[in-house]
Parts: sequence; C-alpha cells; structure tokens
Amino acid sequence: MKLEFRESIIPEQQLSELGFLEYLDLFDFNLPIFPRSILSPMNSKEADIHFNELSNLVKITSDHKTNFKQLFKYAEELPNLDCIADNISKKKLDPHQLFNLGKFLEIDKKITGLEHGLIIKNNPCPAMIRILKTYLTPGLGSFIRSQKEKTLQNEIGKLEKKLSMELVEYEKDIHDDTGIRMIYPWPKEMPTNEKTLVLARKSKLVDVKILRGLMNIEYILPDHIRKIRDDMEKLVGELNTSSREKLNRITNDLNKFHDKFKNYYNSRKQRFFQYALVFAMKTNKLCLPELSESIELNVTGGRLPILARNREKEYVPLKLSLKSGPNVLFGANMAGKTTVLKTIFFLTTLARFGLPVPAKKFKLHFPKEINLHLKSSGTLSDNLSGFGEELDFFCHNWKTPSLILVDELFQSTNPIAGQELSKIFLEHFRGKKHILFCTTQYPEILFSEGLQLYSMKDLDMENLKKGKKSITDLLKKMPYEVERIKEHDIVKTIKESKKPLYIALHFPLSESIKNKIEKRLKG
Amino acid sequence: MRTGISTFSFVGSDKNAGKTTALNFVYKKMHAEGVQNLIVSSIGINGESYDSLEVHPKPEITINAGDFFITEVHHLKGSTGLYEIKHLYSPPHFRKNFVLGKTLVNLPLILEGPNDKAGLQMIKNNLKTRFKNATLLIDGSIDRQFVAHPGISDEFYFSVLLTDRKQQRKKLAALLQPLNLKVISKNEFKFISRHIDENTKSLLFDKDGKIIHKGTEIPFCDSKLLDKLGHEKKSKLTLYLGGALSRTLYGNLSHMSNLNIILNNFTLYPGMDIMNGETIPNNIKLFHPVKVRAIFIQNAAGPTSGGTIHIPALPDNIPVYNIFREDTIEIGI
Repeated sequence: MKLEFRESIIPEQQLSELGFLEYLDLFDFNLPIFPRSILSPMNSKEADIHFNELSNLVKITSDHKTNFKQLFKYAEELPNLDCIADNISKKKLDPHQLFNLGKFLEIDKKITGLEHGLIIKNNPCPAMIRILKTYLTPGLGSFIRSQKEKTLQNEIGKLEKKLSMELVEYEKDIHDDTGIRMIYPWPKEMPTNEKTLVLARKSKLVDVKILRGLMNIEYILPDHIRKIRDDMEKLVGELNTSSREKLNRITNDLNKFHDKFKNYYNSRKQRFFQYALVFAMKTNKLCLPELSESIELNVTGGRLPILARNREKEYVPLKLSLKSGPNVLFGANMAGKTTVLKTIFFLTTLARFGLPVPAKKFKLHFPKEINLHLKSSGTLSDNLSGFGEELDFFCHNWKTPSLILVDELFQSTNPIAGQELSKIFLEHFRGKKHILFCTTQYPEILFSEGLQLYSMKDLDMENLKKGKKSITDLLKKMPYEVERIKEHDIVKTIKESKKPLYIALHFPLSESIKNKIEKRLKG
Repeated sequence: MRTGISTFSFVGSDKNAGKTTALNFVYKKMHAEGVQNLIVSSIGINGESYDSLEVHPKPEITINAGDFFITEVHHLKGSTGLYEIKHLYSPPHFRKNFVLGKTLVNLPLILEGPNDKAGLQMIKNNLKTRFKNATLLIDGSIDRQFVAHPGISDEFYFSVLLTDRKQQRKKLAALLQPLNLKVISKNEFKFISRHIDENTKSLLFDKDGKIIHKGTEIPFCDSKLLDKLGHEKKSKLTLYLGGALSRTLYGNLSHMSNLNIILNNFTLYPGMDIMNGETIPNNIKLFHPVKVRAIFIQNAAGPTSGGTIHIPALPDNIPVYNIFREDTIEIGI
C-alpha cells in the first residue's frame, strides 16, 4: 500500500526535511487490493467519522485480540479486482477474471473468519462462491466438464496421438522414399545432392525447390493426415464453443450480485486501509488524534521521527498545550523553538490527512488550514524580502479555525519595529478563533496581555559553563522541553540574556573571538 | 538429479536468427524425451504474427497437452476451455496479467512474459513453491541484460544468423566474443560478492582489497568513478562493473594498463563498434560465467559459402548445430 500526499498541500521543503515521505513508509503493507492511494486533507466532519471508525476498530480488534499478522498474510494473497467488479455488471468476465474472483471469495472467507465483531454487512461472497463451484474445478482454473465435453476431450486426445503417430509414419515413408529425415524445423534445407534431388523430385510425399543453391524440402501432407488434423481442429472448436457457453452462464448467474459485490469489495478495500492504519499505529507506538470541540491543541509525547531517529535516547518528546488565540514560545537560540513548531506542524498535518500520529496523546480542534511561516531571507522571484514575505503571510484570509505557526515573529526587521509589530499582531489574534503559535526572542512581548506564554526549559548555567565546549556537547546539554511561563517568572526568564554568549563558546570560533566573549562574561 | 527450476534462455544474434525456431526445436525434443513439468515462456512478446521481411506467418509455439506456459491473458482470448489456469501473476506486482497455465489440448500460443527482471524473479520464486522440479524455457532477448543474471537463467541457447555481410559477421563476432572471457577466481568472487548488491554499478578496489569507489550510477556517467580512475594511474586496480562497458567508458579505460575489469555478465561486454571484432583484452573477465548449452546457426550466406560453416571467435567446447540443414537426429540438447 503506497500512500502519497496530494501534491502542493505540504510545502516541498517540509515534505523532505520533516520526513513526511519516510513516515508514509510505516503504512507500506503488501496489499494488492489497495495498492496505492493519494491522501487528501479531510474536513472536520470527514475527520470525525474517520477517526471514530478507526477508534472503534482499535477497540474491537483489541477486545477480540484480532490476529493482524494473519489478516495481512491473507491480504497479500487477496487479488485486486478493480477491473473485474465492473465486468460483472457488464457480463464480460474472462476465465482469468473468474479465477481471480474465485481466489478473492475463498480468501475473503478466511479473512471474515478472523474479523470477530467486524462483519461487513450484505456479504454476497458465499452465494457467489457457490455459483463458481458449480461450474469450476476445485482449483478454479478450469471448467467442470460435462459428459459430452469429456468425450470431446478424449476424442481430441486420441486424434492428437493418432496425428503424431501418422506424422512419424509419414516421415518414415519420406525417409524410405528419398533418404531425407524430415525433423523439425521445416522446410528442410540441404546441400544439393544429385541423387537425393532426383529421389525427392520423384517422390509424391515432398515438394522440392532449389533456393540459394540449396534444396528446400517441404511436406505434401497426405489427405488422411489432413483429415485427422481437420477433424481435430473441429472438435477443439466444439470444446471451445461449449466452454464459452458455460462462461456466459456463469457471468449471467453472477450478474445479479453485481451491485452488492461492488459495495462489498469497496468496503473490503476500505477496511484493509483502516487495518493498515491501525496495525501501523500499534506496531510503531503511534496514536489516533482525538478531536476536541473547543479550540485547543494538546500533545503529550509528540515526536518528529526523523529527529528522534538521529538523537535516539537523547531525544525529548514534546509536551505542550495551546489555546485559542496567541501563544508565544520564548527561548534562547538553539534551544529547539523551531523544532517545537515543526513538530506541531508535522503532527497536525498528519492528522489532517487522517493518519495516526507519533505521539502518546494528541488532542486538537480540527483546523481548516495549517499555515507555517519559517524564517526566510526572501525570494527573488517574488521580489520580496524576508520582512515582505512575513507581512505577505499575514495578509492571508485564514478560514476559521486555523492553526498558524510562525517562527521568530517579526525578527525579519529591526528589533524596535519588530517588537512593535509583534505586539500589534499578537493583540490582533486575541479572541480570534485561531490558534496562533509563534516563537520569539523579543523579551518585551512577554509583558503583553492575553498571551499564552511558553519558554524552552532553561539550560542549566552551571552545566553550560562546565565540560567540553563543542557543538555535540552543547546539543547534549540542551533540555529541549517546553514549559509555561507564569507571570512572576517573566522577569527571571528575560534575565537569562547572557546564555547566547555561553552557547557561542561551544562553536569552533577563532581563539581571539572566544577570549573576548569570555572577558565579557567575566564582566 | 537436479531439483528446482532449471531455466534455459534462448537468445539470438539478429531478429531473424531463428531464436523461436530453436526454442521450438528444443521444446519438442524435451517433450518427446518425457521431460516433466515443462514450462514455456518469453521475455516480452514472442512471435509476431507475420515475419516482417518475408511476409509469412512466423512460427508460433504449440504447447503440447499437459505442458505449462506463461503468457499474457490477451493471447488466450480464443482458447477458453482449452487450458487450465494454475496461477495468475497480476497487478500491482506485475504490469500485466500473466497466466501460468496447463494446456488441456495441443495449443498454439503467442507467448508473452514479463519484460523485467523483478517480474521474472517473482515468477521463478512462485514456480519453486509449485514444482519440485521443472524446466523453464524462455524466449529471451540479448537486449535485456538481466537475462544473463544467474537468478534468471541457468544456461543459454544461442541462435546466430550467418550472412555474407561484413557488418553482420562483425556483429556476430562481438556477440560470441564474450563467450571466450575468463571467469574470475573463487576468492575474487567472494570478495566482490561481499561488497556489492543489486544496485551496485561499479566497484573500484586496489590490490590490497581497499575499496576506492562504490557507485550506483551508470558507470560512464559516474563522475566520481571517472575522477578516481584518473587519479589512480600508478597502482594496480580492479574495476567491477554492474553496468555496461560503454564506448565512453572503454575509451577512458583502454589506456590504463594497470587496470583489471570484471564484468557482471557477458551482456555488458562492449559492442562490435567498440571492440571492432578484435581479440579479447586479457584484462577483462567475467563475474558470472556464461553457460552456453548449444549454438544454433542459420546459414543465410550465399551459394559461395555452400555448406561450409565458419563462425568467428567461437569457443571450442560449445556444440554448434545447423537445425535447418543437418540431420538433427543426433543433436543432444
């Protein structure tokens, strides 16, 4: 089952950088019945139905301890009948389609045997397999012969043998008559030999021509052999006609089930799509998004798999609660603010496409849009600077409710104007039915009213001063945790302004720069 | 007694070299000798309805009652009830629907099997689960390099066309020349096998076994490979190639006297326009041996050639037959 995201929904850069495509590999099961699907974003109603169905499936399969491995083993053998379902209604089935239909019906029976509590209604399969078994041999590969057909086949067999023997005799006669052995392939070419040529020309059994200086010998089939061949062809024609009539009868009998079967087949496909999502969820520690009535977003144990894989044990899963209106994440450089933003974008986007997400718990009000703005130095093609791009981003008329994610709000301009603009825009989102989640390094913003404030958990200063000063060491020291900032903590949070200087010391800068930084730190 | 699926592929030097005729000949002979579980198929489509040059029907293959075939479902349109379906190789794993069938009467058929290595390998794996022993005859194509992969073919039958045309003779020489290539030693085979996979197109290593380059790009486009070959002019090097030794690449390598070249299989050997029918360079060897069961010739040379057969560049130990002209009773297959 190859899943793809509908084109142009997820920005190209995030598609590869955040590992969206690799994530789809988790659902890559061998399902001929559901080989490929292009996922489109859902609306909240569709998402509600979809995740409810999945949640129900999780519950029932857990209650009944459904054997998923066996289900998928059967599913590997379940043939794709996409082209056949329509042919049943058109009464245009070929023997190979009957064979595949039969295989489907047989395997489907085994599958339903494992689906306790999950029976698909109006199942026409048992009646259809009874029809097939009336006409087809147990392996479903050929028709059950009537007595007349058995006789025909026997006659054909006898004639085939007779023809073969007659040909051997005939070739023996040619050899006796001319000295030429007529072994396949024909016509036989032979170097010209006067004696043989005379004999061949005299013989009534072969025709001889001289081509390119060689004798070219061809059969002149005797009438009695021609008759055997013609009789045989006639009987083969009769057997063929009789079989085609049988095929017509089967397709007529099956036709009455065409609507029911088409519905059942589509339900079976959909069911396996859902099984794949649930099985992947169970085996990869994912969770189903839970939809909330109120505008909020809560994540516990949220992961960005591509990053978690690189950092292994050092990876810190995300825990965060966002509310309607402006939410601001404050934190030092390299503390992981952008990663938090990207993780939220990743999880929410997956939910929007109806997929389970890499988290322990993920509850959200289903957004109509997800908009992400990352720092940019502008684009030449649009003739916009980074600042222009950011303003352009905010010109968008977002559908309510939307999730809006902005990295380093208005850091694209000078700090004084940046802080002012940030305050204005955050104020604008107060009371709006959107979730705006942005990161910032402007401390004054934190004093604005009506904001949900968060910061990246502080680096321990003592720890930062100690140990090796390398980038690897620095990454190990970073806590990568988000915490709420309470009002009385705002001042303390802002005071940690010297941290970037300590962070700089972990980079392979020139010694003279490092000395100057250390001097400043010592005051 | 050998168990499993023995696969014999038929390849031809030219379009009318008699490849399908040779397949028919070997099939008929095997059937007559009572070989069990004979399966006949083709890479791509075999047998156009009419010979493009002489405008008469090309030989189709008649599968004898009780034997097996693999063909695309459309070629069975008029044969309802005359065969039994044993298995269907269907999309999405295959591009088309291919039937493994058993004939109930003698059935003339156009054969069409998968045109790709993965498809053929999946079919072979499936056949292994169905037959303890079987013989698979494949109407192959020299253009499909995968036909030479040991996972596909165990042995080959070559059909070659002899004419008076100089160009055609040179082409034939180039086709047969790699049959003379020596095969690498067991140790070399083990060493290379450890370092390559299905996607490896080149592997460059020195005499101490140090890997200098491993590439998955087509060798003549692999700029890193070409760079490294340019820099390592003095030391003794070996280059394994999983892709064709093309004109460009051969041009780059031919002056390197310190270089040994190992080709994955004989189909990667340079064409006649590059080698010009000259003797095989000593520094080129094969990774997989080419096992040729027999060569069938079709002598379309003019009267001056008479019955005399001269095939250039042919190894001594491979039997050569003219099934069109000789007394074929004694031919061993």
